[in-house]
Amino acid sequence: MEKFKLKVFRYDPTKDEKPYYQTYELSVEKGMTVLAALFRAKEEQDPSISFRYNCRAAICGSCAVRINGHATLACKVQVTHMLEKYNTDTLVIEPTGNIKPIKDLVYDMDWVVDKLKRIKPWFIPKEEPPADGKEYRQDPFNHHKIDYTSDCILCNSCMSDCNALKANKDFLGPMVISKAYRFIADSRDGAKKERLEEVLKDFNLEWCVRCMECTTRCPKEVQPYENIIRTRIIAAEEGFKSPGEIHANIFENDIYNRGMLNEMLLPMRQEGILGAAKRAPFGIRMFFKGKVNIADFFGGHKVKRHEEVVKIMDKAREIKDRVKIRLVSDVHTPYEDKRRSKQGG
Amino acid sequence: MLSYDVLIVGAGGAGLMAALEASKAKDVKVGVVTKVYPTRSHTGAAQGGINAALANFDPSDSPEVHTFDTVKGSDYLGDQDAIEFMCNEAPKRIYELERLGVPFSRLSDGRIAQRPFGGAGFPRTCYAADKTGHVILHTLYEQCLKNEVEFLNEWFITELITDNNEAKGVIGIDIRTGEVHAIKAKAIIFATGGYARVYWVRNTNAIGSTGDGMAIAYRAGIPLKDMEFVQFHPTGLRSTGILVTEGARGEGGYLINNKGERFMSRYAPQKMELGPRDLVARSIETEILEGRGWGEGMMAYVHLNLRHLGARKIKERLPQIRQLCIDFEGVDPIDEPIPVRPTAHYSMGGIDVRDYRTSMTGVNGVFAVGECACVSVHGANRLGGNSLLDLVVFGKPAGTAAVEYAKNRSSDNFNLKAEEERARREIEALLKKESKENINSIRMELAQTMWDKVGIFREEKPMLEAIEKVKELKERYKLLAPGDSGKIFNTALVNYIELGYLLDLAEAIAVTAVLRKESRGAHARRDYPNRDDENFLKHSLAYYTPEGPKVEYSEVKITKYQPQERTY
Repeated sequence: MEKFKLKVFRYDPTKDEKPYYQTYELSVEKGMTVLAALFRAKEEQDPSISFRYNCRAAICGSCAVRINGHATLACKVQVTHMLEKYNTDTLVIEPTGNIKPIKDLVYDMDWVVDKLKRIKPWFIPKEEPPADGKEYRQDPFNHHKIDYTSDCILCNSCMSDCNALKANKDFLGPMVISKAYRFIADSRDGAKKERLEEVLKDFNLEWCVRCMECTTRCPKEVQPYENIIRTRIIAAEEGFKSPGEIHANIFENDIYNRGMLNEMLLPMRQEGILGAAKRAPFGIRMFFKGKVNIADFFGGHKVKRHEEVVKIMDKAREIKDRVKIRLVSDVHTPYEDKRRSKQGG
Repeated sequence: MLSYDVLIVGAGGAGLMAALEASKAKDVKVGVVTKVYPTRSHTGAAQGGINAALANFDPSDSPEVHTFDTVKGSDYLGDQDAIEFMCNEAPKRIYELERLGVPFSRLSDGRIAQRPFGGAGFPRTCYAADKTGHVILHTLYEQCLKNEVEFLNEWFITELITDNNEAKGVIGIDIRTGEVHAIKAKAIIFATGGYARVYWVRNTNAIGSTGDGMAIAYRAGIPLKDMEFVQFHPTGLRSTGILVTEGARGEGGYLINNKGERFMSRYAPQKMELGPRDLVARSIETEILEGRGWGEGMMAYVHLNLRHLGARKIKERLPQIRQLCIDFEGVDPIDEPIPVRPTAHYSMGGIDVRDYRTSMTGVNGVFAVGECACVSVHGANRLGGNSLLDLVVFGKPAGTAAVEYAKNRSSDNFNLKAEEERARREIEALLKKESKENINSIRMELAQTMWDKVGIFREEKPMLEAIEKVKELKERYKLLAPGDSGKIFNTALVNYIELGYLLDLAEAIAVTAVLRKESRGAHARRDYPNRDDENFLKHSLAYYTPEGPKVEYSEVKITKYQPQERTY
């Protein structure tokens, strides 16, 4: 029978000075998940491998690991699919990234729970319970806003592969902000301001670099990246003037007033004259490369048929409170398709 | 030494509900000890919903009808006073959960939505798409964080220590350090879940559902009640046994055999696919045995068809099921029928609870709630949607009762330290022991034996063979050792002890099953196909002895509903 190699990250702080990798050779079996392969190696070759597991049905969130560099639930993916995907005979299994390993594939969950506690991850009702002694009412549209985000199983796949968290360990991270959004967007919750203040602290919402790794890695379609953006929109609607919100405002006004962005004046409007002065050398280089028009410094020009842009935006502003836009249920497939078509082309 | 007034073992729905309630009391030290992080508990895998007669969907529903459905579903083995209590409490507990933040799916007027489930007279099952257990588990954990409940995460409990019929504490291993500790506690609530992992080859349960609390209580002298009643869920995925919620049938999915027939019309002409689980499971198994399924042996199956529901409804109401089918079976239920087969799912039996109002056992200060307990509200067959309900309805008063009990106890001089030392020496010896057996072969032989001989259909001779086989495996288990001498995260040690639990529980299941010479609910005997109220309308109680279980019986509480023939 065909064989494959399971190369496992090993580290026991009581015995090992530093981590190492150990390789186990196993038979390729149809339908075998990576978690099943780990058990096979543990029970037949080396009982000392440690990893977390429980439901083996992608709902408990215990078994997130990195397989060939990318985080996923070991129980959700099959060995044959992974070998095919990476076109290899070796699966490299490592603990989740960004979080300290305790032993082998087991990581420090307490570090994440401490982060979570900062955003008060519990429901705080807006109102007293209804007089009829029954449930708070929530229409299906409002329920839908928290439907996908409450699918989060706290598996840390998104935290593992988050590029911003890699650069800044104090960043709350996609899972935590997404959890904050689950309450911020709940029509029954009364602590929206408090939670927004917490996620806006230390530019947490701004730290997201929009690489979309979190949404791509999420095994439950929770859409952490989208939830970060949704949280930013709610923060703006609630009147918080974050740098991102000021930036977005400048864009909106420019589009309305001239149909295009005035990049010459953007730094000055964003950061004031002193702030913009720091960026002057960059601006000058852009000018010599022909990237900006000097005329923009004095107000600049408008796009052709600007009046149509105004009409569209007026209409949008007029109806924006009436139109209900449902969240898309599936952001994963379009991203996957896009990636595949890029690889193919 | 760690010391608590109230110690809760297990952090699933029942444990967290008890913890949340107990944490409201002032000057009482509450701790929760759990072998996995609380949100990893198996409650999270409950999909379809939780029953309560809110009458949101159909105003004619009421707790009385819910009570009757449950009594009938239990094949009259459930205690009717406890069932009535559960069904009356149900709406209050649902409203409480909602006010704690559970994101239930909604009707257009904003009230909680309800869907039809098996064996129920009305659409009574409240749900959050197909992840109801998940959102309840997470909400309860969140509220426990808010109340600053103290958690001992990733601790594995190995023993219950009692003295003079009173709780004294437990022995446990801190998995992260490997240290063996005694934990002193005045009141101890077991909430450790079920034992369907006895059927390792084919079950819906988490790998950790090894009946720990039951085996621990059993070894400490507390009897296990009604162990012969194991629920087989009708629809597990063919190759893995992973659960496909009853909600899939509640939303309109139906079962077909290889002749294209909706065969349930032969077995439950009125309720069809929404018959109770024992009946639907037996029907599917009969179709397969009589050659009307697809595939062979352990891989035989029938089809669950959802295609007619359409992509939109499937994506909205059953998104998780769809993903499970794609990931684990390679089938998208929007385009193809799902291959399914009955699968070991739930333990109706469990730690014998003496008083449903407190969930206290026969040992003072020891309580049991949730799947590890047997109140009994599920009797011989649990209705879908009643297990999550069981957790919240009985978890709450158990928390209160444990606090009250602990308040009335003063500290004593019991020497728990000596027990700790003994347990530490035993574990150290285990780690040094040489293994002459393989854990997987013992576990698989146990599972195959139980599936083949104490499974959906039962008969005297094979069951007696199964008892002999379990005894043989217990002997072989003595030659087994964990095989890993490490301290930190030694899950081989955990798995080793868990297998010991499973062996004891399997023996109790098989022995009580042989003795029950009738067919009732999930216990279906070919040699005794009828229910025998005259001789067996009683709970079995299995007491631990080193030679095997000693079985006694206790009375079933009947209040309003005299046993009738059970048809659907």
